[in-house]
Amino acid sequence: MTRLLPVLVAATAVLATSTPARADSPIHGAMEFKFGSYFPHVDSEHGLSGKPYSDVFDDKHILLFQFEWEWQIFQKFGSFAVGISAGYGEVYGHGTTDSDGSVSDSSTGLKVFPLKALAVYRFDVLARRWNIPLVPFGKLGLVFEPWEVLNGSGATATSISDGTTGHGGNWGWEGDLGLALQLDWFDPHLAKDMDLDLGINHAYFFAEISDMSPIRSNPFHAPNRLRLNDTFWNFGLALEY
Amino acid sequence: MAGWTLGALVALTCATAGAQVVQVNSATTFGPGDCGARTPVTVSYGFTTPLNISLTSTPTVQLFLTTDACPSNIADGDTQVTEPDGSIELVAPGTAADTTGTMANASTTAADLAQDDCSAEQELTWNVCFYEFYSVESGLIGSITRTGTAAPVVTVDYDSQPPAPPVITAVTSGDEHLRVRFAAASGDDATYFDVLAAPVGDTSGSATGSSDTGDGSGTTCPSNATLISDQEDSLSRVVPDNNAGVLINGTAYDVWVRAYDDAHNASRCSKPVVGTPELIDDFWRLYKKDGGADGGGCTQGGPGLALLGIFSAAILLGRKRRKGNTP
Repeated sequence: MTRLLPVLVAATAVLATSTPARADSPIHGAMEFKFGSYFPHVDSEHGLSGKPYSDVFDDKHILLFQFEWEWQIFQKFGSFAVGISAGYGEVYGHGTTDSDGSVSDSSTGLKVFPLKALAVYRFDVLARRWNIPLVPFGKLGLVFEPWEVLNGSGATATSISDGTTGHGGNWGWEGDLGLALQLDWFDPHLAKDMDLDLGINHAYFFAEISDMSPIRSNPFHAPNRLRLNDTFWNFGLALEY
Repeated sequence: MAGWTLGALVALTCATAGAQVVQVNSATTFGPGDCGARTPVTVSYGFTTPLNISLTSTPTVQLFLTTDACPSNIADGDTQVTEPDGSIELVAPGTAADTTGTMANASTTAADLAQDDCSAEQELTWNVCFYEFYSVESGLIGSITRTGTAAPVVTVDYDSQPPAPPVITAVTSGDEHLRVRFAAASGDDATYFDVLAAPVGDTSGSATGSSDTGDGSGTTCPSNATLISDQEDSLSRVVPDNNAGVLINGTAYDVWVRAYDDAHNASRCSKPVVGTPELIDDFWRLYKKDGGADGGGCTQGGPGLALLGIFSAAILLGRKRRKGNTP
């Protein structure tokens, strides 16, 4: 670490001096497109005698796509925004025959549609004042995650034992931490053109670790729900406008 | 045509150039089924590029379909154009504008096209021939220029031959469903398929499979079979996929597949394959069998969505007010 420190300082100095800061048009908000490998911890439910998610889906992860829209309401020291988000992911596997438990050719699936209301803070002071193209950020939000289980014919699954249907919606909290790389730094002229022509002030690649906890920290105290919590990485593109 | 009183009609040109000039706007293939109970198929033609017509008089433009090559000239009649051998005049010949313009679309029906050949066991191909006529008597001869090369312009197929029956490759069990996989005969023109099923041993209809010749020509489709998937192009499907009925778990079914081509000619049925639906535990059933506590349903969904809606509305309202305050 002691060896790395001078390198980091030098790199920061180079980044800070290599490109002059440019005047931006006013920023109103941001959009994010991201995807992540999401693994709902269904099998962690207390009292389960088996591992239904593992048995059916072979512990496959869900490729979760999400779109987020933010409105910035504070832009003094960093920016603070509120936003909403919607996502979609699905996983498919094979059911088992009721008679002998062998794997069937009949498919079954789980679909999730996470909806979120978020508060977002982006520490863009480094980028704004010193032209260092790194923007750490954090998010806190409320999650509502509708889900649906499909049977072999593509319809909503129904339990034989109690007649319940395989769909629902889970509440939870979410916390994210991430780091965004401001792409303007690589081509300031193109960034300027995007601002003038499209109103896009900044573009970022980002990575964030997301702790999405429907049920595990359910704010409405309803523990008997499908456990869809997971902590996973997202990667995506953000555009400030 | 009846209104024509031309002493002489001269066909200036037979047919024009490729699909750039004349296009078929709808079906290019039809079959015996189109001539019978089905609603006649309209085959229409139009010009994709304007004809460059410049005449001192009004020309009349017509299209013909013929099983022969388009003749270079059409012999005249006193009052009526003599149609080329084997040709069928279109029902609604187009007429060009007075001096310049494009020809209107013309159309005919499958029944008109096929005429006596509707039940023929041979497949026919028509060429579309394009002619312009003008009156020699009246002396209204002008110049006609047009781009184009040679006939035939476009073909319309009369397909009287059904495709070969498909071959079922697998029937696997599902919960009140079966998955049926099958293959069309190689090189065949089958484009969509029906799936039929009947309980094994049900002899209420025609003898199932008894007419199987063993030569790959399939079997007679039994009259007691229920259509459980119709007119889909997928070669692997979960049946039933319509409201025709439900397959009962534990009951063995004979399953057949029937193919159709573009002209709606139906093949004989495939050889039957037996499948038995059975109870399948999907993810939800396994979860419940393993003691999962979630009761399903959207017991929290309503309040949740309402809260998100209120939150979103508040954000939008705040944003609107902020905009409104901006000078």
